[in-house]
Amino acid sequence: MSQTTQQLDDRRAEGSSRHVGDGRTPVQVRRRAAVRRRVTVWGLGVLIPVVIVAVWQLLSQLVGAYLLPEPLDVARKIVDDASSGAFWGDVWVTLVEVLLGFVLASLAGAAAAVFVASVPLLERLLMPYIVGFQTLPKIALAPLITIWVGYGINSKVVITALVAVFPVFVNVLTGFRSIDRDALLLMRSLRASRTQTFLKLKLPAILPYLVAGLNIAIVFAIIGAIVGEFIGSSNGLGSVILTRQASIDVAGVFSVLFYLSLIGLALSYLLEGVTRPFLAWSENRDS
Amino acid sequence: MPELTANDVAPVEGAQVPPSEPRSGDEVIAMTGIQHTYLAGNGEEIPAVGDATLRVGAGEFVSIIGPSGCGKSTLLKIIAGLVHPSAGDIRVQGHSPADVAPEYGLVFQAPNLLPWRNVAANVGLPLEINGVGRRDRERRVEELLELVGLQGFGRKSPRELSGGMQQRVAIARALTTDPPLLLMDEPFGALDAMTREQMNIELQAVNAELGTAVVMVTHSIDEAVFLSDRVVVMSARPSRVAADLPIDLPRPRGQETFGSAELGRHANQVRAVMNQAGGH
Ligand SMILES: Nc1ncnc2c1ncn2[C@@H]1O[C@H](COP(=O)(O)OP(=O)(O)OP(=O)(O)O)[C@@H](O)[C@H]1O
Ligand SMILES: [Mg+2]
Repeated sequence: MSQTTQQLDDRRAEGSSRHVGDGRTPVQVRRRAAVRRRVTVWGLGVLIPVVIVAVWQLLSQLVGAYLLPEPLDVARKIVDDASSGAFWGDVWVTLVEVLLGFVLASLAGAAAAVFVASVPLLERLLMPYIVGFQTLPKIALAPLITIWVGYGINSKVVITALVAVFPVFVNVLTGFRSIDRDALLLMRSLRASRTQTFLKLKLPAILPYLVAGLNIAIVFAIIGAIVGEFIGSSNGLGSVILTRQASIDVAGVFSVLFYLSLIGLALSYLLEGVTRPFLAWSENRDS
Repeated sequence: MPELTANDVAPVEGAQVPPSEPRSGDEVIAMTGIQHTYLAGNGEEIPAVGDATLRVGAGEFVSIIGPSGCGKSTLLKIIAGLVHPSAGDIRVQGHSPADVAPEYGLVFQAPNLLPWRNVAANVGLPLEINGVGRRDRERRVEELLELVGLQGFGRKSPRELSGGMQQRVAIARALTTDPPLLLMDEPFGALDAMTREQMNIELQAVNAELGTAVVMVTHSIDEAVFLSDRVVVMSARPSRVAADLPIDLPRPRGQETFGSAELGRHANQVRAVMNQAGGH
């Protein structure tokens, strides 16, 4: 039997209770299909980076290592940076800015959304401004913030928070709007107090929206911190990028990008791990 | 008080009981000349309920049927004290719902369960809000799950249940505080015909066993006739009570009552009144 017809047979056998031709039960077939799927995922997981590195190597030879350093050079730089105390100092500075900005944005964004949602009139009045401000590239405010707050860490945290606050605010507000009218009516019919309605209905209902907002915010926070450092800073990964750019150390810039994505990944996974237990109910049943 | 009855609209055979006379005892609901006009967002006035006069006695089962948009849900909300009528007088359990919040359980067309709570926690929600302790709550929830035939399902998540089972959870939740009145707004509208009949039979048992008065809005004439002591037919918007038809089928009514000639006769009566009232 050829590979493709075998797969077709398997697919047909899924969900049916009869035995397939060679005496295997549908459960066995399904289990084998699952194994095959896992092998495919692993295979691709190895294949994709290999292809990327190969293409990268090729390109670098085409355009010249000055413009696009070879993968091996970048890897060497990454290892170098890992053993440099000064570099970890810069990682730390950026990390602190990101985390402070993120926490500030989360608290302010969620609190503002709770406040706006609890006063319907306020929401109606503020909506045009919210939409207007939302479309404004917050990054463009960064130079202003440095004028107002100065060049220290404060300005980076403020810029980071400013960039990250909107996804939280808008998501939570959307969460409030998505609450079922009948569910609110139910709480009223049970004569629940405002606090009870908030704790037992609104808060759990907005939680998936809040988490979605936080996931965007953490990524935005990294952008905010880097841009803040671009505007004017003598430490942090953003300033490292600028220094290396000035000395045309392209491999060095790539190394910073590597560490930045590592920070992004780590923070995203951390966030997911922390929030997952609260969201089990909203996950898709079949995954 | 001039009350419109079936006799004003269509000839009713065998209706010896004066229509809006409660089956027994005290009145749970007494409303006279209730009107309600909504103010739409653009300032337009929507006269939903034109003139509703209705009485419901303790333990009585009354169905409200009428064309879409005629204000049936509005009427339920008025009884529940969730909407204050523009005019008219209403007493629920002897008080104005505006003054003394009435005791009732509410069931919607959708089960309206909170997906982050398991079945038991959903059923226990009203008790939780009333500050009943965990131990008492658990005991009561067990009783109710048994009543609606869902013992052992307490720890399941609502989405693991079928639509019919979810609606049973909603009914259990509405009954946890043992209210003397159950308000239901098209509770079985989303269910398939077989499940619906099954639920009708169970609801009848609950009504008989607990003596809970029920006001149910429905679009199904058969369901209304099967369950009710009286079927109240509303006219199109702005609505008034077009007829208040007693259903004298013997109880308990079982599976065989569906499709029986007796039920068909009553259903035809209701249908005739609805046609005359200009609905559907
Ligand atoms: N909150 C509201 N604001 C404005 N108009 C409303 C509001 N609620 C209901 N209405 C209007 O009042 C009328 C009666 O509504 P209601 O929901 O009571 O009807 P219904 O008889 O329950 O209809 P259905 O059979 O479709 O459920 C409708 O025309 C509806 O559009
Ligand atoms: Mg309705």
